[in-house]
Amino acid sequence: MLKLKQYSITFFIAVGLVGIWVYITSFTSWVNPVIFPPVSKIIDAFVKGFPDLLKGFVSSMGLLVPAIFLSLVLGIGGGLFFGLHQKSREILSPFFHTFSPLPPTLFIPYAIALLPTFKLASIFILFIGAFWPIFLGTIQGIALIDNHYWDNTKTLGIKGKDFIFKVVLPASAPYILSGTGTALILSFIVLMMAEMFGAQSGMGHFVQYYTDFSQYDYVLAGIIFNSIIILAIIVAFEKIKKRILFWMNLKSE
Amino acid sequence: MVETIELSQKSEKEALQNKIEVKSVHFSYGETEILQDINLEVKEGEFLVLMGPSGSGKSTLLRMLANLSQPKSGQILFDSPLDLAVVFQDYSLFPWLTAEENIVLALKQKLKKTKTKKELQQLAEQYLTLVQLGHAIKKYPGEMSGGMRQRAAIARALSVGSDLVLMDEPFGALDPLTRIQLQDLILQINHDQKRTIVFVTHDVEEAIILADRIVMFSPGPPGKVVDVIEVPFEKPRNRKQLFNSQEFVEFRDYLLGVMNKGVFEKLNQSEEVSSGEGI
Amino acid sequence: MKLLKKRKWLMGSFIAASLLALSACGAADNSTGDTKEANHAGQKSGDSKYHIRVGYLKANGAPLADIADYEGFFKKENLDVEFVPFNSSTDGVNALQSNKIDVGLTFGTTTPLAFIAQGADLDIVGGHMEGGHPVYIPKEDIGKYKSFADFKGKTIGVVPLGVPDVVFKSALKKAGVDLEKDVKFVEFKTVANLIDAAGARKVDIAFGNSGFLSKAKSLGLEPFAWSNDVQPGHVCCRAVTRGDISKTDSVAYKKFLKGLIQAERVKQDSPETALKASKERIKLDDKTVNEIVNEKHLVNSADPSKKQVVKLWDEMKQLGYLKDGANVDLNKHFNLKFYEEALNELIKENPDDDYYKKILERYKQQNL
Repeated sequence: MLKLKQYSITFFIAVGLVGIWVYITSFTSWVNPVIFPPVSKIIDAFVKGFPDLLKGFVSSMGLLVPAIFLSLVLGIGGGLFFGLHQKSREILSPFFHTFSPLPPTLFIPYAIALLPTFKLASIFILFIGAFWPIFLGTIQGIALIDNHYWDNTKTLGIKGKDFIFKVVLPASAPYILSGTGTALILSFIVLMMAEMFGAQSGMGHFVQYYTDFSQYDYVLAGIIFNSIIILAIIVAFEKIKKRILFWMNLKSE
Repeated sequence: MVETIELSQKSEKEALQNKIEVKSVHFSYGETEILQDINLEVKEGEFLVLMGPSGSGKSTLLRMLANLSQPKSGQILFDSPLDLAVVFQDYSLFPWLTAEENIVLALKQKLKKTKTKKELQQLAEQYLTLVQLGHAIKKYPGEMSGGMRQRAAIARALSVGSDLVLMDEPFGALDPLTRIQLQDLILQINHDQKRTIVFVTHDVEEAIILADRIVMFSPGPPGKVVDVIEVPFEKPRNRKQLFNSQEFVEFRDYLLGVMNKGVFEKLNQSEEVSSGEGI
Repeated sequence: MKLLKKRKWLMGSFIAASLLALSACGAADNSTGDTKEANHAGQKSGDSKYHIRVGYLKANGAPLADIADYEGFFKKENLDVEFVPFNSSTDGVNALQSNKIDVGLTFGTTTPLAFIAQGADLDIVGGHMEGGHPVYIPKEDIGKYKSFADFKGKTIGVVPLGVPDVVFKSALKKAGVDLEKDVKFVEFKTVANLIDAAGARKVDIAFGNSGFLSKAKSLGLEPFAWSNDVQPGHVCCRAVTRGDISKTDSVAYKKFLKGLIQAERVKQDSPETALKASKERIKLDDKTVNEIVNEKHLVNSADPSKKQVVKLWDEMKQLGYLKDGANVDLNKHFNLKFYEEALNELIKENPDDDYYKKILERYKQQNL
């Protein structure tokens, strides 16, 4: 019930923002109608552009899903390795610090040159964006595992598969998941860059394309569509996260 | 030169009369000396309590017995390669596993692959029933009270077949009633199952109820063993009778006296230092 | 720490999982991928079809190739054309260099020239677009300026290193304006940004690109001059290829240019066809597409126009854009063979048609 009340406030704020937009664009002449198109034009663009947006959604997912999957596998796998091997981590951490803040756009020419298809190059660019938060989150998660868990692990002699799957991964899961959340949001930003070459459609492509022609009614329609998709994905992710971290929210009877 | 000495579990076996012998063990944390020249032994089947005010290094000694840290110098000798289990004040269990899964995880490591999953689960259930947690097998630590969690931790310690159970203030965070119940439980286990128990506490009454012998630590740093005292009461002990007896009161006062003496000395020392600074 | 000792299985599963992930991408790519792997220009073995991958800039489209495609000129030649879009011409030229596309059609002229100056092995083989770039001023300033000399003291918005940037800056210089002292330039990343800034009156003058006329007009901007008038016949987008083209592959290039030459004629004779052909590629309303494709200052020609390219190269040098390229011999970066062959074949195939003979004359004039 509390939740519902909370979200109704969210909803009213959204309605209010749209209201302000409608008022300014349709009833005043404060702003240029090309850059700030009225809502009716945006809706029109949304309806006209919808088939393209849907097509874009499908093709963007074709890039995002493998990229996120790859980031999860290599990010968590690599994070586990370097989180547990202090020596290797210390040797390579200068590289981590150097490469992780680089914008993925820098890698576009190399991705195009080295990978056989444009699609793989796009996936790679997305992967670079999503990999670091997951990888660094995993390393951080392992570094911050409570000493009690290590003590228990040691006295019980937990080794091998159980060590990874029953101790290290669950214990570092909060940080891995927060890294994954960052990666998800970041990958939508990077999607714009990843669809700058070779893509005939896509959520990022759509916005970028109409920005090039300064057709802002379409740009805004694309942004609204993308926001809805992103919101849906984030909500779904939060649900999954809550399920994985269920043990943090248990109440004793 | 720092001499690191591995826990030797073999060579001096014949010479060893006791389960564990701690010989002139020192431990320091950076510049601070935590434990100074500790000598003591743990006898087979006994209930040994390490007692002292906080900061006396008793928990540090327990960690060294558990092989979680190494002495700076000195030796800790075990009579045979032994299974030991540790029960901490809290956090003994992994919160993402149920009581049963926690025990199965521990059992799997000890028993390697000799038992099926089903058999492991049955064993886990047996031990949980032993500590009166038969109803909470599928519960997660987050769903249990502090007392239940410690019961489950004890069940896990017992399940791995440990000859030696090390307990680091395991009942420190519990309410008085639960505390008494768990004290009785652990006494019963010590008696019935002939497990050797090393138990850390700073509660005098708890020490008297539980211990066969009490090792008294001086307030650190550095912590030192001031005295090792036999508890002059027959086991099993009747809590109510004991608490009302004159002998108990005298013994308790004696222990407190020993402990307070160290505390007062410590306080005087620091007063001298501060007054010295004042001039 | 004993626990943290070598965990071979961990590494093993890590590698296995990554391979799995990679192969999963590969599989996804096979099912939906719109770019085909490793089939560079030329003839596929066991297949009589020729194949060529054409890169274009989304903002420019690829009108001549679209017309050729629409009219079936490529099909007639048994040439399969794959269109690969880019947002930035730098990415496009990089893709060309790394053999991911075979021709860059609408990456401008200045970008490929800048690459050539850096030592890139690229050849100009044909043309696509000439002229068509306006200088925009706010409509309230109409009458304020008479010539480029009047721009002194003004703030000018440019997209650096674009063709308009080079052409108009050269014109300013010629008019006696000191580019360092007399005017202030504000640089923009994209033409759209520039037009918006000019619309918001953040700059006094904008060196615009083709294709934004009605947008600019709706923001209250008017063309002050057109690049064609400033520098008649100046080139814009050139068809660029790698320098190392094998003999077998060169057939595909010739066929491609053959299509473009025929498309040029259709474009002149029938702007409606050009509009129809481009509508597939440029997803905007008809009016805007028509403006991008058929604006009257904009000329589409497949001619390489070597002399004009050299002129632009010299202008770029004078503006200091090609400092590293001082010793590069631009003449070595033309490959006119494909265009000549294509034109000669067309003349042979259409002996009664004077059009191609005229085009040959034009070629001789503009290139030799």
